[in-house]
Amino acid sequence: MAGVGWKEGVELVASALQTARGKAVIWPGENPFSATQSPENNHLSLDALPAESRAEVVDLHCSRHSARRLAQLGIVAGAVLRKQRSAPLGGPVLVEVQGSMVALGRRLAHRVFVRVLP
Amino acid sequence: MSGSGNILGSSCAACPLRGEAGLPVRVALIGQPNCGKSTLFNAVAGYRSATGNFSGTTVRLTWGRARVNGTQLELVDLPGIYSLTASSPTESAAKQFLLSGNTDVIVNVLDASLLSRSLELTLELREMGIPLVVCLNMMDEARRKGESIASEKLSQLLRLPVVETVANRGQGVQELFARVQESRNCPPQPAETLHWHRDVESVIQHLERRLDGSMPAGLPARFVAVKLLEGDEELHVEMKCEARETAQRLRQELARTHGRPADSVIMSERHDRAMDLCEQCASVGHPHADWRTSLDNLLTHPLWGYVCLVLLLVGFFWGVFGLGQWAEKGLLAGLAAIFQPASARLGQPGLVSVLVTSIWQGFAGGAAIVLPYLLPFLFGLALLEDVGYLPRVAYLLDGLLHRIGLHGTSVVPLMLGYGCSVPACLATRILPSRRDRFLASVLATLVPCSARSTIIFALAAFYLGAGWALAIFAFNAVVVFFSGWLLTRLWPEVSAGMILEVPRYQRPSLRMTARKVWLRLREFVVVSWPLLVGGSAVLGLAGYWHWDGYVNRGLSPLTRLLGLPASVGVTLIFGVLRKELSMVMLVQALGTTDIHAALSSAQILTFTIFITFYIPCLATIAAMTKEMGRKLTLLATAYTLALATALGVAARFLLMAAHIP
Repeated sequence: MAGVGWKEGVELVASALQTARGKAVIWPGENPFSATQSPENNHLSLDALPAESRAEVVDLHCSRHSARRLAQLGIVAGAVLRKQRSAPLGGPVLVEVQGSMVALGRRLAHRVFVRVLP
Repeated sequence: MSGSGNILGSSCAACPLRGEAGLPVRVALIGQPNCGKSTLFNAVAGYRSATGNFSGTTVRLTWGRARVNGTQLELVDLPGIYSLTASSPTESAAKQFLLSGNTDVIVNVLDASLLSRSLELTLELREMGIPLVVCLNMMDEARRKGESIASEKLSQLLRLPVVETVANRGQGVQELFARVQESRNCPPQPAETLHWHRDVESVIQHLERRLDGSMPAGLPARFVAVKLLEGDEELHVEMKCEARETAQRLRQELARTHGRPADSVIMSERHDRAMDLCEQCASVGHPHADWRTSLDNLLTHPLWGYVCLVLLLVGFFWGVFGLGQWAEKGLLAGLAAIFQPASARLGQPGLVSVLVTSIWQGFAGGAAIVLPYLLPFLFGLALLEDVGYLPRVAYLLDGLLHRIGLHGTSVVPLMLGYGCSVPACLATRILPSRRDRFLASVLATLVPCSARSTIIFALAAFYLGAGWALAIFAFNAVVVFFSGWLLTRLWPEVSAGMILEVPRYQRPSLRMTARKVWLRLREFVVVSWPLLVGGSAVLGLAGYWHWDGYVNRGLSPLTRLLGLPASVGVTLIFGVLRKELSMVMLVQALGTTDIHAALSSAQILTFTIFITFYIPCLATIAAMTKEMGRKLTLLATAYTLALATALGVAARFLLMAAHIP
């Protein structure tokens, strides 16, 4: 793996200065959609789902990379999961899916939409 | 080697492969993360590949040789992958190895308790056309979860040999490798039951026909076609222009007819097939709630989880220190008693006497100062790893780490950093972005490794009390946190959200843990200890001929700034070589084992803080250079030196202001 060139280094410092001046931080690589666009009214995002409840995944509004990783762990549209709990301080959400436990960062959980199952 | 390949000849292919040519059969162990590949590897090839209960314990290829049932095997333990579409450098390494065509037989290790998910990878591997044996590992775990698996049925449906194993107890391993020999020349045959939905299948076959003849290095057309439809970038680059265009067009067609991206269509096809297979041959019962569930409820609790984390870490350090101090006192006294008569006989200080004394001091330093702390430390860390606590820590701290712009998974390299910075740097490969890997490696090198912890224990704790050592560890954590905050300001990029599998707790096997400790301890015994003895001798001779004065004079601006005696200068140089050297050399440089007689409390603290943070050791620098290039390593090294100096000076004046002598 090659190192970062000095030119890149200068750019890094410049971008840091921009951030320091109070520019909004961009969160890249997450989603092309806005997370607030819930597909339907009775669908919740995973972080809003109450703990200890079962739900079916309806839609994933995340980057292709994240969607692929989630699919590898069994979190795809149609999959049934069970939310165990979430960590405080904006920590991750812990879900049980296909017999394994997976921790999802809060931002990502916000983009996974589910339908609560009885 | 002449005995190899004599048993269970094959009937499927006539081409001479390794086994027949007298070469060992090359077997690649592959499977999803944390399914026990390394445990299986170690069961056959001896303990070489460190194991642990978290995803991504193995980040590089480990080679081993073994003779099973009279056949010579060459085993490769690959990093775990969820699928053959790589999304991190570790996964890419595993995939590239398989694609390189150097494998005679693939052993696909499955966590039997996660059957349907694990089978997705099996379905992918099947299509590579390399002989494949399925190893249903962790059968005991599956039974505990109330699952029963009809492996015969699974074998029929997959048309592959399936063997049940419990690798950590060695069950089924012999049979597994017998099957490996049998299937050496038998690539997987097509299975009717595994065909996909007709529309997807027809798209695949269409692309397959178009690809004919333009395949990279002996890969089956179907495999390439499916991967291209899935949008595999690595394969995409290797294809001819025409094939790429066809693939692109078919991807769009799939997306249009299914209303979602092509890769998602392919993945759900595979997912459905795996679910089907699982339903046909496994029955799920009710898992009995056991200690694991209650333990997890406690350890991931929003309040008690954190209380337990702090108690556990404090308890851990206290335990290591208590044991270490007790052993150090005893060993120092014992070794001094042994050396007393000998030194009396050496008489007047001459060249020989200086040489013998310093060699002895190097040896005794390793035995009495380093080992007493290193051994319990490595053991405790290995236990935490094997039980599966690390991913829980990642879960608890992800929110906090995200505030400083770090990925929650960085906890794994950070915690491993307490053991040794080198594996910690390598473990950053499990992180998704380059920037995350850089940040995590810099921070992991700031975490005191076992060698530096030894110094903290043997200096600050031994002379000033355990409270001070704990304070240094806590202070270090604060500095690491702050450094993370600072560095993310310099390189702003928000890491993709954490996706981390949290494995079940495992009851650690004492034998396995002990072997892992030995694997890591061997590093000290084979490399560091001889260096301690050699370094001690060099320093003794340098003192005898008064050469150390030059080094100390050169470093005097630094030592004066830190308020330390000039004679410690040379120990700082040795510390870059190996961190343990600083400690043992300090004894040598000051000319006494009672360091408190030569240094004041404030000086001991300043020295310890400086040592904790300054320049990583040579091995770490080498590992960092390999991982992230020379410039970033240089930057990281400069940062640690500046940080250590600033903190050392600050500590000096703060302690002076607080009237600590």
